[in-house]
Amino acid sequence: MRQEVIDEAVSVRADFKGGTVTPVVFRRGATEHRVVHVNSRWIDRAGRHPRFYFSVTVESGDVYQLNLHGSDLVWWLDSVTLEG
Amino acid sequence: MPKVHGPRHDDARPLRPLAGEGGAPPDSARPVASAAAPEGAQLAPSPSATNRMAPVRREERAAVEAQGREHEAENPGARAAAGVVSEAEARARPLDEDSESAGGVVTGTGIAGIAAAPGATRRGGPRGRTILHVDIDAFFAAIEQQRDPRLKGKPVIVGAGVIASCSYEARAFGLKAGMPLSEAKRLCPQALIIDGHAQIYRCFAEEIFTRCRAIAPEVETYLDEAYCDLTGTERLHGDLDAAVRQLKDDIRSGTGLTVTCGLGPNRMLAKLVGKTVKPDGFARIEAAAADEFLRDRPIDQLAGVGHAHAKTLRSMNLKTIGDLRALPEDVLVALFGVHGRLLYERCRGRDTAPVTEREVPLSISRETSFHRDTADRGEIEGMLEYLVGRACRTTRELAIRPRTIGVHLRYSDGEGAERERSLAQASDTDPVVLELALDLLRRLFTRRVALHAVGVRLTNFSRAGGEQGSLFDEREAGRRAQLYRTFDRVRGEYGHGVVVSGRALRLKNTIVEDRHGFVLRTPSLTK
Repeated sequence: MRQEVIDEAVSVRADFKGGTVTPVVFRRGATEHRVVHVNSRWIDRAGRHPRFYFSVTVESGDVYQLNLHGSDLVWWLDSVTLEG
Repeated sequence: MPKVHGPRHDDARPLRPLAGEGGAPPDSARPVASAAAPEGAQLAPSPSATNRMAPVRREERAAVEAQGREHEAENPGARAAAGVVSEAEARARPLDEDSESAGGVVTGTGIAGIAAAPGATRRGGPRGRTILHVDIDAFFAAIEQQRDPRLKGKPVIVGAGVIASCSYEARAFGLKAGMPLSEAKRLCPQALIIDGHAQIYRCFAEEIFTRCRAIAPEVETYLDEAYCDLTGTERLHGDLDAAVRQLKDDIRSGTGLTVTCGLGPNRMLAKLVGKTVKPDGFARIEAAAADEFLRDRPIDQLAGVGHAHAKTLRSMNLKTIGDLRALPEDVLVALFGVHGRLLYERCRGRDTAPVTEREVPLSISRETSFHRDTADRGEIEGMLEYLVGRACRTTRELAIRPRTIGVHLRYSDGEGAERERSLAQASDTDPVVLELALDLLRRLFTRRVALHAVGVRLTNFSRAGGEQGSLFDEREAGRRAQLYRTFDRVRGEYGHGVVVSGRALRLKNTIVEDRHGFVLRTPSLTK
């Protein structure tokens, strides 16, 4: 497994339902990645505003880590873990 | 849990609010859902943060003394069995002293297989305690497998240099925490080695501990385990076994992690019985079953018998906990000092150590290895300044001041050195602690060999404000203290890395940073 740090703001389409948020699709550059599975989620409450983290598997099978800033509701793409 | 190196991220945060403060430290964090239940997770309120302090032996000493006093009294155990214990006697007795006298059986073993005998425990009685031990199964590795489902079913190691945690698939090859990675690779070449993510692990741990606090008034937490004192909660919970099973279900649905639970009349037995049903199990032991339960267990399973003690005892042909009972108390004391009295009690199933949310830790240490061994004094001192800053921030958040400062280092050839010295007056301000720490470092770092790791350890704490201040320096000290409290507030809101001072600036652009500060190679995860 190889993890690459990305750390860039991305556009995300998400479901807000029942007090939870679930990313559905995100766009990185010209590529749209559809989330096929939310593997894990957690909240980091360090600092004034919480950040909502998601580990998601996209259609290609790669695993990305996304986070939503609680302060400005901006989505960030943290990293991708690639096979090999 | 012993000191573990491996996962990245230095994070010197307070781990538990002090009594009366309430609420959570600003950096507490929690997971809210898992692959198991990604849709159902709720964004629950912030928990208090995890305690990562060194274990407090003071409680053990108190327990020993209490047990020692008890020991000198006439044998109340036999009288208790006969039902002739007066209420006053009962109150005076150590709570689980009657391990050998009260009725009860081991009522459940096997994975999630509990068959508690109704009424077997003395629920809520003045003498009986009910302690729950919650242990997170293969903690770091389980989280990594959850974050990346491709790791599931594979031997996974989390750590750098040594194994901090490994999956059960890896354990099948004989791998275990603390083992050097070189040996791990030899035993299991196909194992996947992953850098740790300490900050993420804390989020998950805090979620689990919050759920524990919901069922128990007193919860003592460590990195990946917690003791919950359920004594007196029987009327609240009804069936304690059901409450524990519910807790396990809640944790699994909320975090996707499994925990092993042990329920017993004291901490030691609760933990030990849980070990028999790992992973994802729940077992319960009654006081009367302790004797049989402990007798044939290997000596090194007894709480307080580490590698060295076990070696000593084995050399005396004492191989089981039952064998240890042959030694008189004074012999054990002669062998192991005050610890010998604890062993004397524990091998008989007795452990009166309380479950407490510690407010004042015995020590606070921050340490890491360098990404690359270095002899650059600027880098070493910069790292030390950063570690001192993290440690001092923790002391300020706990409203305590250390008097004794220790520095330890490890050379690249494996040799280590450490030294400590006390300040004239306890202080929690970075420059005061750093001055002494740097002096210690200069005295320690004398060989012309690159350093592999460096760390600082603060001990001998006193409550902030409780000491006699200096008459003439008070104004300056007050201004400086205020400055650092302001730094803490800024760091609390924007991350520790937003304020970096002095020598630690040298680390900028050489070590990756995130909002929690520099991403260290092997930050200490000592609690």
